[in-house]
Amino acid sequence: MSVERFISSGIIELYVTGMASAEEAKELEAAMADYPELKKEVESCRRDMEQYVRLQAIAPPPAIKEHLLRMVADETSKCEKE
Amino acid sequence: MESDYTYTEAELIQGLKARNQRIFNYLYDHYSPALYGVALKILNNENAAGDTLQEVFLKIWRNIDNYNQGKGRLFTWMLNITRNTAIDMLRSKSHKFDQKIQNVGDDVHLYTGHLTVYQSTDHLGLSKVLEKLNTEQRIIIDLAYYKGCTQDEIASILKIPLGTVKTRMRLAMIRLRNLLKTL
Repeated sequence: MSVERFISSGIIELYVTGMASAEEAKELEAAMADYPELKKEVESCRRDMEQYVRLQAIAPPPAIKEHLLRMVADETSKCEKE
Repeated sequence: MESDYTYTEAELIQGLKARNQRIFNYLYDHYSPALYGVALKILNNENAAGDTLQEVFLKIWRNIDNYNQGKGRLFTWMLNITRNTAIDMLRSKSHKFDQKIQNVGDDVHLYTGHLTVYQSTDHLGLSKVLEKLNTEQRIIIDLAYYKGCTQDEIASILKIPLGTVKTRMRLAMIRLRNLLKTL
């Protein structure tokens, strides 16, 4: 399939949103390796999707961070002792 | 003591690989709202989303050596971990497809009611986009990206032919991308 055909087929959008079948994903990934412009198209779609994700950012409860940092610190000191 | 210094992605990766806790702290401050938003959207439950967020950051901390820069940006990698972790949690809780439909049904109700239950950090930008994206387009994007539904599942949930799913998805994404450009 040509780059143009890939772009107009809508497969990029399916791929980025995780809706492409394993077969479709494999086909697109193989083509991306051959055509840098196709890879760029996919990356551009992905960046837009990620912008949409960022728009929906919500601050998590502060307690999560405290707990997490403590766990990471404990893990690290344990590793150092070993 | 917060510093305004912005780390590059390469610096973040290097710092994480060196098990630098200051970098981890920075990473959390900068990325946790986006990732928490994702988890909350998938799970519709603050406790479950909080547990997921914690698990996600532990996975990032423990598995940074598995991250391959050639395969994509750090944020993409972290997002995938978040989606997979949250979707796994959703499926382990529901087990049944019925439950998933039930959850989606709740979402559809959410869409028709208030814009969102939770206040996003960029509420204005979000409203601007969501105002102009119609409900049907929002739902199809969310089912695929956030709920991890397959084309078959989406066809069955929305009661549309399988062939229509792809076309609708594509049109929804084109609309979304055009709207994002206006921000």
